[in-house]
Amino acid sequence: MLRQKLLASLLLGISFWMLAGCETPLSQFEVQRPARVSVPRQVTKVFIKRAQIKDINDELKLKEQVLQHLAAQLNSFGRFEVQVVDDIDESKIDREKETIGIIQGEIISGGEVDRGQFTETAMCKGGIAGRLIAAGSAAATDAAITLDSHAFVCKTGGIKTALVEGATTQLLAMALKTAKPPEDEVVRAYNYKNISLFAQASFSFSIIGQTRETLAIRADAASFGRHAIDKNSYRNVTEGRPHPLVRASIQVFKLPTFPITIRPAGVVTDSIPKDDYYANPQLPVPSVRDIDPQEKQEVIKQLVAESVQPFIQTISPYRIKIQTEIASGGKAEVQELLKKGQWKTARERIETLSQNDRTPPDWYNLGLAYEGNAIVVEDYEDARRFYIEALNRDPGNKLYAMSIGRMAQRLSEARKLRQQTQ
Amino acid sequence: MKTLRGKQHRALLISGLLLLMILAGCAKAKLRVLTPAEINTVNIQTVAVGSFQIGGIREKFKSERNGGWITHEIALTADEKQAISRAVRSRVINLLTTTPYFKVSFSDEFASMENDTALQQLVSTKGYTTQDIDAVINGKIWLDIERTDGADINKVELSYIEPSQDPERQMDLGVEQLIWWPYKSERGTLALEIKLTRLNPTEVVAVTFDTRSYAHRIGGIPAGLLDQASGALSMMGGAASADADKTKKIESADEVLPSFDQMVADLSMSIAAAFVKKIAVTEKVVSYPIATGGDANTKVLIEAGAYDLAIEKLQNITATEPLGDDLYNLGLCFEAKGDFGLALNFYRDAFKQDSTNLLYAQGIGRLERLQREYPALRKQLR
Repeated sequence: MLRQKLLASLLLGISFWMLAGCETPLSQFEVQRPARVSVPRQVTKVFIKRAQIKDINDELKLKEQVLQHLAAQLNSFGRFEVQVVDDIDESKIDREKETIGIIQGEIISGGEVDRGQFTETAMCKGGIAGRLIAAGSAAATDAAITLDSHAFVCKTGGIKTALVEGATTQLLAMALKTAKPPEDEVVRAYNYKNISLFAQASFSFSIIGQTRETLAIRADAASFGRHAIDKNSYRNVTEGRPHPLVRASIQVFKLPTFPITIRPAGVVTDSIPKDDYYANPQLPVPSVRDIDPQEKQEVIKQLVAESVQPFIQTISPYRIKIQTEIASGGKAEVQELLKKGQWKTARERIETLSQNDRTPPDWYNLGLAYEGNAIVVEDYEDARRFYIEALNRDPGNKLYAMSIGRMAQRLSEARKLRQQTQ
Repeated sequence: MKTLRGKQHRALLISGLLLLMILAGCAKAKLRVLTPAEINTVNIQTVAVGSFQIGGIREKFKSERNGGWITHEIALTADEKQAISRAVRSRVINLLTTTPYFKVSFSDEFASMENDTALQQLVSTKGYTTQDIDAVINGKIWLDIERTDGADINKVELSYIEPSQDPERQMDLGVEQLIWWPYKSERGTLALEIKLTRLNPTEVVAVTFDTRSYAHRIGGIPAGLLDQASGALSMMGGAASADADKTKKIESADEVLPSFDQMVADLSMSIAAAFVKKIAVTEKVVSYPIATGGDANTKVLIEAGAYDLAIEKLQNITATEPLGDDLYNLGLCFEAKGDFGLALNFYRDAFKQDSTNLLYAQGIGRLERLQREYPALRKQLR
């Protein structure tokens, strides 16, 4: 019996390990992707017109932050020279000589704090062992504790806490030589507040030159939501422990069921929320009492970035970070160099080996070194060549095959990028 | 005892085999396929997007306590309504611009039309000045959103256990009481009428009237134990995938009801997607199985999307030893690259070798269907 239990535990452990996965060495690098829309090459100057960015529904006053972020991001990718201006006098543009880009749009943002009350059941344990176990598992799972009328320790149930308690209950009861602890199930109420923030950026990109043409319009949004429970608000509203009179009657009459004929004992009116949370339907915007100002700024930065990113990727080439696996089994120091992004040095190390001395992982890692540092189409073509060399020497290797597949996509993107920028 | 151990061993073996099967999975190739528009939109290449008129917007907050309901209606300003109209319009444009089919012209002339009547008048009298527009898309919006703060009432059995050495003093009771379980819910319905009007000759080419609803509820009567278990498992799975994805995501919680603007955005995207599928050629990614009996190395290449190299190797292999599975896989590579003629030839060659093979027959059927649709697709793509 014990052997079978050990075997089952071992199998379970192996399954968890397989699910979790082994940690494989990864390298991270930036790739440049083409814009979704090809903007004519002669457009290099772009103006974001403040006056033409509507902000009637910008409750969080994000407009300036969004525009500055948009300009900074577009400038960082190098395709355009972007300025945020109050307005631009189009009559002053010499349309014969230059074509400029104009960004207009709308910012919508808001937030709300939605307060409320929920009800839950909780189990209270008495006795020394029961109280210790309940308090201990509540501490371990960060659950809120209340006390019933006899100072039993009450905490919410659920799979998580049951797992933590399961092993310790029997052990502790055995160790303290106590009987099974008494239990009392209660109903508790607690207060919460839901904090949400929302940002939406709608932009259009037009070019003004010999012709006026709008090339792109996009609207994208991002949102933040947090469910925050007030741990100090937990209170018991009723418990399973019967009234002493009822308890005595049950013991005397020994009936299988006993009616509760007093309405307040049967209907727990304390579980009804006292407040009408939608009495004022204009829910307040989150303030410093609801979310730390610094944290709010961080969240807003994320919302701004996420709502603006698709528009940036529509009109400008952009860079993103990708991760890919490093082949193990080749030159050991090369793996470390690739992990750190030292592409040139990694390349040089592998190239010191003669072609015959290079193992399949060496060929693959050489391809990775070229890919990580790729700037032009030819770099991706070289990377592909080395991945194919690796695969020829180790046919059927999925990692090498995936890299060849990836290079097909990169080459197509690199060619499109060349058309957009050169 | 022996029988029990034997049974346990069999159970372990079966579980292990099942696990292996699940882990191995079927090898598949991912292909991007073009689907023709559901209606004939030949000769429509450049499309302008007009305005989306507000038919009606209602936003309500409702409270319920002990059976008594109170409703608060929110009055939106004209500016707020116009912002919703612009948001819906932008989402339609978002989707139109992802299809390779239409060129979207962002003409202010049509966008500034107040309503459908004004637009139809402009079109029928040919009063527009914008050149090279083949058709105009415009629409009408109806929106109904409701948030409720209520409380369900439910009977709950609370347990009370008092163990004792003396059986007379032992207690194991279930106490039934009526408890209120507060909840909050949000329900939204967006109805969108979208119209595609050809300018010359003037005709309404497509009209759709579609609705989408969204409902979300938090709190209320608690879930049963099984729901708690599945919730715990999905939490674990979610945590694992979050670890795999290293990018920082914005915090979100299921217990938070979405904001009004967020709901409008999500509902309008869904309806617009259905309309775009109706009027434009759309692209989707599908997975088709790779034949398992052929060359193992080329299978890996196909799975990885390295079709060019797979074609090169399979052509060499099939030149000397044309196995059915290799021919099929070669056809699959050509299909992935959009060369349907060659793909069909190789599927037929494979089928000649084994006319009972369902995989080969499916490949042929798939391409023959494309051939039937392709004249429409070819006309639409021009």
